[in-house]
Order: sequence, then structure tokens, then C-alpha cells
Amino acid sequence: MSMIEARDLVLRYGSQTILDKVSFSLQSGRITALIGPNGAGKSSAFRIMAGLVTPEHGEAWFDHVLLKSFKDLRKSCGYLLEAPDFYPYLSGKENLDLLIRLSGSHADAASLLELVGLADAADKKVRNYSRGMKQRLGMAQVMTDDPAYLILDEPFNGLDPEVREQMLAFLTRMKNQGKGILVSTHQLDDIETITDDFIFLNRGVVFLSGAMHDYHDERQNVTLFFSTPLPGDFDPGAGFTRSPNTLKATLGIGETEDLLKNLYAKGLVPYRVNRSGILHDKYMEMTR
Amino acid sequence: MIRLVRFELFKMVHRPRTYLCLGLMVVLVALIFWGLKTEGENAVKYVFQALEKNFIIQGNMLNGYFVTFIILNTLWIHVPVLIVIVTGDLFSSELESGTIRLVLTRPVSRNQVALSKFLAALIFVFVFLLFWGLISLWPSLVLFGKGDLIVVFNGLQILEEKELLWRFVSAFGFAFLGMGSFAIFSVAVSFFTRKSLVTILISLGILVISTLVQTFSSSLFHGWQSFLITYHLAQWQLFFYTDIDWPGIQQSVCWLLGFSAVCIVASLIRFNRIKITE
Repeated sequence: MSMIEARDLVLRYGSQTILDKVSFSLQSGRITALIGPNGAGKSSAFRIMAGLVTPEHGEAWFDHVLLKSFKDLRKSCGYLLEAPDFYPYLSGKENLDLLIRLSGSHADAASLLELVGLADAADKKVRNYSRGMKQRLGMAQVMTDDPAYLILDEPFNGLDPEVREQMLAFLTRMKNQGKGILVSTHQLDDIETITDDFIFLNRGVVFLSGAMHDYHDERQNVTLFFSTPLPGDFDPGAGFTRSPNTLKATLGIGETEDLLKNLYAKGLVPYRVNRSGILHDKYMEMTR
Repeated sequence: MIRLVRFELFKMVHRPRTYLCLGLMVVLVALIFWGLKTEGENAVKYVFQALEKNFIIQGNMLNGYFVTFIILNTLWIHVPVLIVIVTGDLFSSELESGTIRLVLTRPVSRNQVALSKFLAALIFVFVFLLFWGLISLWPSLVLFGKGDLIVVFNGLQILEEKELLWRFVSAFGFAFLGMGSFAIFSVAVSFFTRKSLVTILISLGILVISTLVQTFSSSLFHGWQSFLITYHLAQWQLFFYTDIDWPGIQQSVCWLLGFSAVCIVASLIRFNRIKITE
């Protein structure tokens, strides 16, 4: 399995440490989420991966081979930097054509625009694009060289829910095609549905990293919403917090299933069940 | 590298300011034609009236070559101004808009990106001067006819018609070197500023100051002349001396080439150190 590793990244601006011995890896056919609050160092890590910033220390490895610099990763990676900028006096298609020519690839700009849902705006000048459209154009330019790895900094920024869904489906498709994807986002519930691995970054250090499947059985906050008040004699048991129309508890997946079965048997059918995500809970744990 | 140069030219061709620059040049040349067509005879008579007291002048002094020579004088200020509008922000506009990050996430080096901008600027200058030369010389000959060239600078220069074409071609060739050097200078300035407008203003400011110093070089700034870019830009005139000053031309060619090399090296050093993520 192909693999990219960043080892022991150290980045300082003056006396401020941005990244302190940060290491992570991404593998082909897997999505890795890089998560952290603003200022955690995520974008700096992405810029290092893109070769735009040279770290004070750090090694880039590709398939267990040490590279001279992170710039050598550019041949295998497509990058979406946070808030991508394009040539405003060119149309979306012209921007893509330009980048395709620069790379010497044989990609078709029209197909790429279709892929990200911008076919109708292909001939519109980028200066008239909304933030979400620029973001989608950014995704299209990532694909111009058909890279083996996608490095995506905040790809869901400025996207409406429908397009975000499309983007999630797109990333899943890319993963299934064998591409390795590193993605940073604040949309934790969204990314949780597709990610395989996660890295929590806080104040320039890795707080926690791992694979999603290792955490599936963890207990999480569950909230059940009812359209009518719960009967006064209903006793959910210890560990539950109730209000007239809601019931809250910290439960594992199995326990949640048992609770729902129990409720249905009593004729109490919640109209909504919220189960907080693993990533959300870990994020809150990290920032507390 | 060729891809990067094409990339730069593609952008240049799609920028409105490129056409604005060419359009302004057409207007400038058209104004000179109109002025000389309406009042040119009187002006020429006024300039050469002292000459007519001692010589019998036959033929058409206000001919196409004379008009083209007048247009060549726009190389002092006007043409550099038009060129810098296009080349002056080749880099700073990318830094300002953030598109340089987009380019540098591709498998290209910073040196390649910088050199492609210099090459694109030179190609633009070549095309610009070719266009300028064609819309100057050809219509001049059609509108004003042919004849010998008599001009007054550094004494009276009288050149036979049969010698003029190669002298004009050489002057345009030298103009390419001069304007190319100025374009390289303006691109280099753009590597040191983060704002396109500042780049253009600095380049034009240097041009104005250099012109002023040169104007007063005989009285106030003695010996400064050969260090001024405007002095070397204007050396195309040497091709219109009856006896061409080849050493003077060689000296200016060397100066302009050296100056361009310094600008390019300084830009490469700067670009490799600059933070582009701010």
C-alpha cells in the first residue's frame, strides 16, 4: 500500500512555535482527517506538505523512501489550499485549462467542471464566482493531474449543505478509486461519515491520532426528542437526564439500540435521535 | 519551462491592460501623425530656417523616415510607461491575489517561475515593439513619402535614403534591448513589492528621476550619465549619426545586459527567500 509520511515537523515564526514535532501519515485508499481549532497549525502543516513553507525540521517520506524536500511530493499530490485564489479575469474553464497546460496533463477542463457541479458556470469570469464556487473550482484544479493523493485544506468552507453532500460523495469515490486523502475541516459530523483515520492537532502538537474503527464502541452523548411529553411514570433508569420532551444519556451503540427497542415497546417513539459524533466528543475533550 | 512561459503569455493575452497598452500606443502614434500632417510643414520650416539661409534644400524634409524618427523619440518616456503597465506587476499581482500559491503547488521550482516571467516580459516587449515599428514606419512612408533624413541632434545629421532602412531596423533592435532591460527591471521591482500599483509607481519613479538627472547631467550631475538607465535606453540615436558611434553602442549594450543580469539574479535570490503564504 502506497504511503506518504510527514515526520517530526517543527515550524517556528520567531519565538512562536506553530508545529512541534508533528508526525502523521496518509495511505492510498484511505481518508485521514486533520482536526483542530483555529490556530492549531493545520494550515501550516498543509503548506509544508505543499512545499510552500520550509519547516525548521521535518522529513517527507514517500513509500518509505526519504525525500529531499516536501516539494518532491508535488508530483504525486493535488493540493487545495484554504480559500483558493484564481485569476479573476479568466473564466473557470480558462483557469482550469491554464493549470492543465501548466501541468502538461491531458485532463479535460469541461469534465472536471462537470465533476464538481460547475458546468453551467464554466464560462463565467471567476471574479463573479461565489466563495462556494471558488471552492468547487479549487477541487477541480486538484484533479487536473489525476494525483495519487489529495491534500485538502478546509474543502467544505463556503459550501451549502447540498454541495457539501456532493463533496462528501466525491471524496468517497476518490477514496474507492485508491486515492489517499488528507482533509482538514471543522465539519466534524460530515467528515466522520467518510474518514478512516484522524489526527487531532492542538497548539502545534498532535493531541490524539488513530483509526475510526478503534473508537466505534465508545460511549457518546445521545439525545432523544419526543413530540409529546414523556409520561410521568416513565423511568428511564440511572444515568439519564429527562425533561418533558427530551431524554439524554451517554451510551454505546448497543445500549442505544436497546433503549430504542425498549421505548418502541412502550409506544414511545422519538421523532429525532441525536448521537454526538466520536470526532465531536474527542474535539470537545481536546479543547476543554 | 516552455509550459511556464506559455502560462504567462496566456495570462497576458487575457488581461485587459495588455490591450489598453497597445491601444494607447496606437493613439499616441496616430496623434503624432495627425499633428505632423496638419502642422508638420511649419514646424519643420521653423526648425530648419537657419539652415535654409546657408543651404539650398531640395526634396521633402518632412518624409516618412523623419516622422518615424520623431516617433522613435517616444522611447524616452512614453513607451517605457506603456511597457511597465503590463510587465510591472507580473509578479506582485500574483502575490497580491494569492494565485502564486496555486502555481507553486505544481511541480515547478521558484526559479523556473521567476525566469518564465522575465521571458514572458521580453516576448511581450518584442511583440509590442514589432507592432509599434510596423504602425510607425509603414504608415509614415505611405502618408509622408520617402526621402533623405535630416535631423538635428548632436550637430546636423544628414543620412541618405538608401542607408535608412537598416539604420531604422538596427535602432528598433537596440530599442528591444533597451526596453527589454527596462521591462526586466520592472519585473524585478515587482519581486520586491507586494502591491502592483507600488511596483508600477517605483518603476516609473526611477524613470522620471533618471531622466531628470540626465537632463541636468552636464551642469549638476557631471559624470553620472553613464550610470543612468535612461541614458542607455536613448542610445538608439547613435544609429542616426552620420558616422555611427560603435564603441558607444557597444558600451550601452554591455551596460544594459549587465543591468538585466543583476536584476534577474537579485529577483531569483529574493523570490527564493520570500514568504508567499502571508
